[in-house]
Amino acid sequence: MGGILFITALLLLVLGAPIVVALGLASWLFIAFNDIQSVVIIQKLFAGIDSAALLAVPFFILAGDLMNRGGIAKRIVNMVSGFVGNIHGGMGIVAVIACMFFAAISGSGIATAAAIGSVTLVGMKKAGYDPAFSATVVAAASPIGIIIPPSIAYIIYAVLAKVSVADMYKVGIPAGVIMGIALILPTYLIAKKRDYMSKAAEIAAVDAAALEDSGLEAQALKPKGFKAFIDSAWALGTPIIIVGGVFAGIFTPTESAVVAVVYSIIIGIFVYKEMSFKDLPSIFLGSAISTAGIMIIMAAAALFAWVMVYVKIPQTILNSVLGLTQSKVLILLLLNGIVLIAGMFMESGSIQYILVPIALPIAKALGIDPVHFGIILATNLAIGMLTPPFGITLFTSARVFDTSIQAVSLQTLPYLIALIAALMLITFMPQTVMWIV
Amino acid sequence: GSNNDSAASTSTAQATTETSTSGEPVVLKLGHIANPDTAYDNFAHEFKRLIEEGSNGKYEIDIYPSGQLGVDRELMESLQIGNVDLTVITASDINQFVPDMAVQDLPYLFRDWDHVEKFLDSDVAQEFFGLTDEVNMTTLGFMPRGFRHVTSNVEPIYAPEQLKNLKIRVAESEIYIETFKALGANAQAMAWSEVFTALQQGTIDAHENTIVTTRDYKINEVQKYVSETGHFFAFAALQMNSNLLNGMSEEDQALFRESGLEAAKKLGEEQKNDEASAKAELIDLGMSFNEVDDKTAFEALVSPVYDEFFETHDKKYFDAIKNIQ
Amino acid sequence: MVFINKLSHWLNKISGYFLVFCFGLMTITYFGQVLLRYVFQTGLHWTEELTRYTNIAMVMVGSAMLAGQHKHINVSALEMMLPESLRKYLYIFQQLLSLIFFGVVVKISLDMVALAGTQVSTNMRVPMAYVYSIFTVAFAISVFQVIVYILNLLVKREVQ
Ligand code: NA
Ligand code: NA
Repeated sequence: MGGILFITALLLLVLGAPIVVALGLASWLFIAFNDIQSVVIIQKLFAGIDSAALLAVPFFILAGDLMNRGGIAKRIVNMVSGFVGNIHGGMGIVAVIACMFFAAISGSGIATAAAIGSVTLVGMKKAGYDPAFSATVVAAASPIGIIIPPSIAYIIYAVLAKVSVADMYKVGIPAGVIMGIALILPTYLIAKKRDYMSKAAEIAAVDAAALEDSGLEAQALKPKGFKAFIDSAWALGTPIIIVGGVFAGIFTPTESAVVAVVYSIIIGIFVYKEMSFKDLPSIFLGSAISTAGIMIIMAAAALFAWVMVYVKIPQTILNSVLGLTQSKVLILLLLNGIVLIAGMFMESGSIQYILVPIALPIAKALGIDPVHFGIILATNLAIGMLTPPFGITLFTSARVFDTSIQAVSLQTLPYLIALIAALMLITFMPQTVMWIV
Repeated sequence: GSNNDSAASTSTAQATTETSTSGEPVVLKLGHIANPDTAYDNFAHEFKRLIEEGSNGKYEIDIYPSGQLGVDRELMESLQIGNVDLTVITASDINQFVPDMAVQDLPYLFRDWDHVEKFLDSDVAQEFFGLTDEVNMTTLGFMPRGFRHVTSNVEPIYAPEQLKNLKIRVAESEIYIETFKALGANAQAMAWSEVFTALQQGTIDAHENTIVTTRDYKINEVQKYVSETGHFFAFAALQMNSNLLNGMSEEDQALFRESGLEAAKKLGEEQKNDEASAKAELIDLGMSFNEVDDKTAFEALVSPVYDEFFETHDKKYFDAIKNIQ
Repeated sequence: MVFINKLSHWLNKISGYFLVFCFGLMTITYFGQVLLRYVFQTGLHWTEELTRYTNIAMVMVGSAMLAGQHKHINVSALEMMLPESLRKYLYIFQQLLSLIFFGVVVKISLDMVALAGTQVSTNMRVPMAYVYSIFTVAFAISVFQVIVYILNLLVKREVQ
């Protein structure tokens, strides 16, 4: 019965129906044939968007667009280029590290993708990267948002598994660092293989020529000394205000997104003077449409997940698969596999609510520390945000970088391998993360 | 109001009871918002046990915990239309459907546990529960969860002056927020999912909840003091789709109604005991508890909340509850 | 056809203004919440709820605009494989699928509005029937814009 649901959805996806329509139509057909009251469709579309934590998504998308138009992103990129311009894949590595730092204030993978994606967009373009590659780097690194604390995923797990949130937060730090390092490696190797360095040089040469043609002197655009420092300090103020404000307890991680919006408007209009109030409506419109494109999919995914849970598809699969073996290694591998697949269709919170009550007793019986099990699970959930066909950071990143999901999907393979290697390390060598608790 | 004619006409759930003659059990879906092994879940399981044993296996109750089928409003709507047959929900959430039930949110409504228990055994309670029938939800029972207290990181609270400008997260309810504003606090409405992080980072200094929830949600990791202000009393409600219930035989209806009350009473006793053990556990974990001997100062300050409430709501249930001795 | 296209264009413009209004309002209410708490030591119980509901309206109307332009995120591998001459028919087919879904949910959203009855929201105490009717309006716009898109493809020979 559940098979029909998946086959319909996949068929519609392959035919190129919008993802919202593929998930929506498959769910509707299933609901109609199973005598379920169809108003649940509206309820779930509503609930899929109606979340306080998700408000970070529209505001970080808007903040990113404002930073690009108002000159903040450009200055951050220029400054960073000075340090990493001579490293293969330097700008991509910076994007990974930026995701790790951003993760320290945000508990959401897609907020991380929206925020870091729109800020690093210009930099990676200048570095000569193919947009699908840039999008892949961000799609792969932004799930670290749920690994490095704070993270709602850990709070949900700690309550379900009756472990300490603080312990989960602690093991999240080394786990996030391991994932970050795992992602830097393929970024460096791919950039080296594709020789993005010389492409960047070409782009820089073209830019310089264009500047000369326009009669502007490059010098005039590049203030020097103290003035240059002050000029870029306003741009650097963005991350400082966001991170500082959250740690000082002035606003919540979610609210930090709207603070970034207001700050970007003020700096762009009054300090850099690169935009005016008249530009705001078009920027707001563009960001609103990007937000709609991403969040309507989350709405449809909430519906699809409800249907699966209502007819107990995930519960049934879990119970049958976990009963197959008594081997600790096999069970951990099976669990990893199940979560990765579930992550293709379901949001991470829903997966935990179903999986933890079924899987945790088994893990405990096998002698796995619940905190260790929690971090294995979180790492899996993070990877699930990237795995095609349904990966929420994959979609967000593709939308932000204005590229197609199949182009990004095709490039995820080396990153998936790297992340799965990190997962295996965390799973089978617990001391890599557990030393901290 | 006469809302939910549509709910009544679209519900197909009652059809299920007729299939029971075939020997296959009638499977009813019960959805609730809490995690396995919590008060809400135990309430659901006790009810399940009573129904399955009492009906000799004619009915089977399938429990979906953790908001798997939806939370709060959404879950209640699902109950109205029959996608879910039974729910255990936070009783205050019913207020959005039945405004007169909001009387339960009023501050210092109940004197003590004994008062609460007498209320639940009274005819007043039965009449009060009946309010939900008009929205196609039958309230089978209220499980008392306990008094809500203030937790904070600043200092133990003995007097309302100490709440002045305290950044406190208050559960979503107009009365709750107005109460804390009347007490002088900087009352914040914040989604529950944000609360832990906000307490940790100091975006808010305080929150208010039952002792059991304070333990279950690890609030001790980010808060130091529990001041037993006992400003509100919290209930969880067991509800059933009215059409489904009314379509059953008299005997089955009686079984469902009696089992609901019995489970609520039994779990209520457990809550009272669990409150004491949760308190002991939290003290072990380093939290500091203080009693508030003189609550009259608090009660005096919240009287505007009552005045405003009775401008738009019937005073009948309030008087009836207060008069229970 | 000219009239329909004009209507579609006009509706698109209105939708655009609506999105800008929504985002502006969200920025003000949500930022206001921070200011109120930190600067003015107080809070309003409805700011977060208003921001959430406005976001829902923005997402739904934005989604309708995307639908009308055939710009929802999808897997476009199949169209890449098709010769250009056939792509138009694939686009029409994809938009027909969208039309079915959006059409069905217009109907269902009306049931939802009816179900909401006299229910009010938790904090602002606005009737939920109003809130749910966002879906009716947005999906109705989607249906209209998708039909206009299909008609234009059928009338014109080339794919834009
Ligand atoms: Na994080
Ligand atoms: Na995935």
